Amino acid sequence: MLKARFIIVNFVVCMWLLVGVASASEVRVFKPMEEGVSPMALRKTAMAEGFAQAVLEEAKLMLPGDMDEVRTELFKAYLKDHSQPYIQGYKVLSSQSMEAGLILRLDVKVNKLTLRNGLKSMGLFTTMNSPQSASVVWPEDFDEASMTQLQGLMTLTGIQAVQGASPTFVIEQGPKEIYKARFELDTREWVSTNKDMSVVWFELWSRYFNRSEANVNRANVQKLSVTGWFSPDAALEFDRVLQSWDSTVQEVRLVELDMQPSGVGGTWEVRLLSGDRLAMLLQGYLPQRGLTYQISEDAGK
Amino acid sequence: MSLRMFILTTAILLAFPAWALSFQGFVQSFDEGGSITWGNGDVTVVRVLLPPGEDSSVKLTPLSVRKVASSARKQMLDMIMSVRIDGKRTVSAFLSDDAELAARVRGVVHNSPFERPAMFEDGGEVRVSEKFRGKLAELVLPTTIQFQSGVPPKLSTSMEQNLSYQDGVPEEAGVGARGYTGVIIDASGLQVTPALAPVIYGQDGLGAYGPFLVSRANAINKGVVAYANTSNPTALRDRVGNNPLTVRALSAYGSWRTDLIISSPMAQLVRSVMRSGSAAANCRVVIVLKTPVKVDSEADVQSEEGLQPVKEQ
Repeated sequence: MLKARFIIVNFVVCMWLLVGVASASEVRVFKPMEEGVSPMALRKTAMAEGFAQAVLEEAKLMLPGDMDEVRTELFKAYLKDHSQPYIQGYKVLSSQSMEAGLILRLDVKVNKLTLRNGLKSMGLFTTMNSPQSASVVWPEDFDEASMTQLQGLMTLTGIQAVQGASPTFVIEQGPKEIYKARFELDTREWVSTNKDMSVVWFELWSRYFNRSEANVNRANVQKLSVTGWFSPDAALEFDRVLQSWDSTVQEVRLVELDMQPSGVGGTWEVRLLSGDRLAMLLQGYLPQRGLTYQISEDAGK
Repeated sequence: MSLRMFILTTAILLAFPAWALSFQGFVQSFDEGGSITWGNGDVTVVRVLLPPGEDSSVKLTPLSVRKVASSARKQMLDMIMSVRIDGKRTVSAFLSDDAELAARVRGVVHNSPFERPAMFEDGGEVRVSEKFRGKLAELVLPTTIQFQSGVPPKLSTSMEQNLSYQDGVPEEAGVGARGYTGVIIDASGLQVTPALAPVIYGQDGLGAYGPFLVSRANAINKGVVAYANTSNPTALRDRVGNNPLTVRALSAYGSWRTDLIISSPMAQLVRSVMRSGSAAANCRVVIVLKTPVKVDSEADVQSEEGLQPVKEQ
């Protein structure tokens, strides 16, 4: 019976890993032919859309909750112009040009570390499950397009505008369609200027989310203890395995290696993206190697 | 059928597909229950635990089981270290220059899957296993090997005059090669040492197949070649497809007889097969060896007759 349960757990873990890997790498895009758009430009747009789709799929695996439809669309639209830093490489698997449009199949390799840092800076880890209150101030004569874009950025980041709340984000529209914004937090202030409102927005909000991230996510840090090795090399190898489960744990830190005559044990602090997934992976990996583990929530206390 | 049985059956079928069970290939046996299955890359050590009373020196406690597992893993590490990467070096020789990499290999071995008896009182066996695929292969295959370079290695001297035997001249190279789905090299009449990255040469001295045609990723995940102890195409179908080309090896080459020589016309045909279709991409090459032999697990020591180093030709 134990063996049967063991096989089922392994199977589920394997399937989960396979699905995770496959969904992140290969994307298929169809771009309908548009009048006045050259084949080259159409291909460029299709590529950008393919990259955005690949990054979005990878981000969904990393984030600690499900994005709602509106937020997903906003994020995808944002990524069409801003996915480049997250693309490690790509391969065009096939390109089929028809009268109706272009079908492009891409194998995209996403840089997970950069993406994770990007998602952190954008506040998506923090606001995925509960919005962040802030004062957001814009000029009375803000044009409609700018207003729509600002509201989209607020929804994407998960910012709930509350009058008088801290931090404060103040945006102005300067000459030559340049946006200038100021971000106030406690007694500190940052300023950013750019033609692209999203650049201004995320540059300033990254100050906040990167600064406060450690405190915000402390609740997700847990202690993982594993015992049963015969060699410290084995514990260090498991450290690498743990680090590679990057859609399950956001940060991994080996805090203690306990070497006793009876065996070697290790203790890690892990910042979780999904406790259930981690438990499933541990169950699929450790018992079959004669190892036992325990997860507790008292890390850092 | 109950839901539980249905899930279990489906899980087994999906988790262990038929191809994984059907082809194990050539089994190289080592002392004390060790074996390397060169078809699928499995490295296994099995130790039998006797129930109390039968052997007073081994008491079946959790600690003694762990000690046996630890000793089995040490043996498995020795076996892995003794494996030849190619004609020039063993895993041990390769890792001797890189302490960090050696520690990682030790880490993988000491984290290897481990099976033990459910009830210690009844005796049973402890089994530790690893695979020369995936992570372990990634660590032990040197990055200095020129995978998929497309440039065939060349022997310093042509073998044309050295070997009198030649296969019947096959069809002209490139004409019918498209139909072949893989290659079986029959080396069953020769003493050959299995290796992770062997090269098949033509008598003309030019490489016909080897790491130079295979991507590093495929070498890691599939193995450059598989070794089998039968040349029956049906048994090898999973690896070489439905219509493999069978070629007889004329001799083994190199100090440790890891590489093989085939006739020049056959080498041309093999090159054509590798150029067409997905044979090279899927490492669809099997080397057939004679009946398994038992060897010591000491690194760099091959004690069996016929596995002694021979002078480079």
